[in-house]
Amino acid sequence: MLQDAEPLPPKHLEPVGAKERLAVTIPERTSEAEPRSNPQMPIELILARQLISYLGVPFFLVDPRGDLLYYNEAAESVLGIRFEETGRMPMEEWSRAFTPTTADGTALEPQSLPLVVALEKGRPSYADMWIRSLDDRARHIQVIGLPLVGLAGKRLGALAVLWEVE
Amino acid sequence: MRGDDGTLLVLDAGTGIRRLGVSLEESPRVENPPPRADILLTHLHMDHIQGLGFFGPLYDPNVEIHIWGPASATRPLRARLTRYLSPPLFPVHLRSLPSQLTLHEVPKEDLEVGRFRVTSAYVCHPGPTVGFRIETPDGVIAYLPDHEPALGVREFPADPEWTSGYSIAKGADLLIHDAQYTDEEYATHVGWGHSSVSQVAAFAELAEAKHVVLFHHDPVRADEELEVILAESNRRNHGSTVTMSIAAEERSYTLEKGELRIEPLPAPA
Ligand SMILES: [Zn+2]
Ligand SMILES: [Zn+2]
Repeated sequence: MLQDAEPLPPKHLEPVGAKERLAVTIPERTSEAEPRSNPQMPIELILARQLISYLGVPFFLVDPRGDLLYYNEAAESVLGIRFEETGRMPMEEWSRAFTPTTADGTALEPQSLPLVVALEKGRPSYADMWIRSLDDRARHIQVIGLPLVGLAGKRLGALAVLWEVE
Repeated sequence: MRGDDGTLLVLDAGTGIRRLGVSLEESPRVENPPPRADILLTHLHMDHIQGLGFFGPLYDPNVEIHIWGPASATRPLRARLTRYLSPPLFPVHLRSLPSQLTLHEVPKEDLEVGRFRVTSAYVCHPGPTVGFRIETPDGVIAYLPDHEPALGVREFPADPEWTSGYSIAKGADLLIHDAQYTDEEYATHVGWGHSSVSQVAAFAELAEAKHVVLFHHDPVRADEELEVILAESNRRNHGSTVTMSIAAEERSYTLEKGELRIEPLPAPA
């Protein structure tokens, strides 16, 4: 006699409200975002961070709220600032810091940012954009946002490739 | 693992589980047959499941058995286990086992089994693999038999936050941990999913575990070699608050109010 208990939930993705949090006012941070009761990152994020720290392609890693966890050395040259100097940043901060725009200078709608799409919709997304790096240079970049969804459909965050167009 | 309320947890299903089944039948100290057994599978590598079909209680219709193990991205635990527990690899099909068998998928947080609180989380090892943390009124046991937390870490150990298995092992009174390699062997086995003894020592120190049992020995290792490896590790970690011993057959580990007692297994009456 055999039965399966509590099968895995269907792989639906609940919204995380990343869009809303791009508003100018910085919302109160809830305690669930703070790694208090479980001070360790999920293995998928640990491995993602380790992998990109070994890659020469610029990568940017965020948690399920969209908060910056890490970017690698290759991304430091695109963003114009070392990760050690910025450290972890809430989404509200980094999304404003780099002022993403289209080629003609129009500000990009937050919901069209590849990382936001990856987090909200759980699918890869692409955009061509300009940013102002923190060493105060306008840079033309192509961004691919990749959702990090675990085996059981758990939303873990997202990765972005920040490819500078020469 | 036995709770003082009789709860029976079985950690993985390697070859040892056959003898466990026999000893349960023979032991005068245990209700016979045990009304329920929970088997916690960290992952489905062969060395962790190959004894499963030889566990006597699986053939007893009066026994309730719960198997906890990881699914994969596309295949549920049942399908993954059936690959082994079905012909031609095994004569009996999983669904034909007479016991009252229930499968549960992990990782899961805070699951209650008798007086044990069991938490599982994915850890660094090839394929979906979890570690188990078992909290009891007498202390905490962490089980990470196949684990490579040092993989890709430039200076191990890193921050607790960025260390695989930390939440499982934190503050454990007894940490049962993979220690397959020496440092020289690890250098040529990076990414194979296992740890060196010195990495275990560093990991245990980081996690503030009290006692580590070195486990998952390399199959070619002789007992004397293990003694040398342990002595060398103790020499290097002189002054550490973490104590270490070698996992061996026929040994019992008792946790009582946070104190650990290691003794030879009592001979069957
Ligand atoms: Zn394994
Ligand atoms: Zn193994």
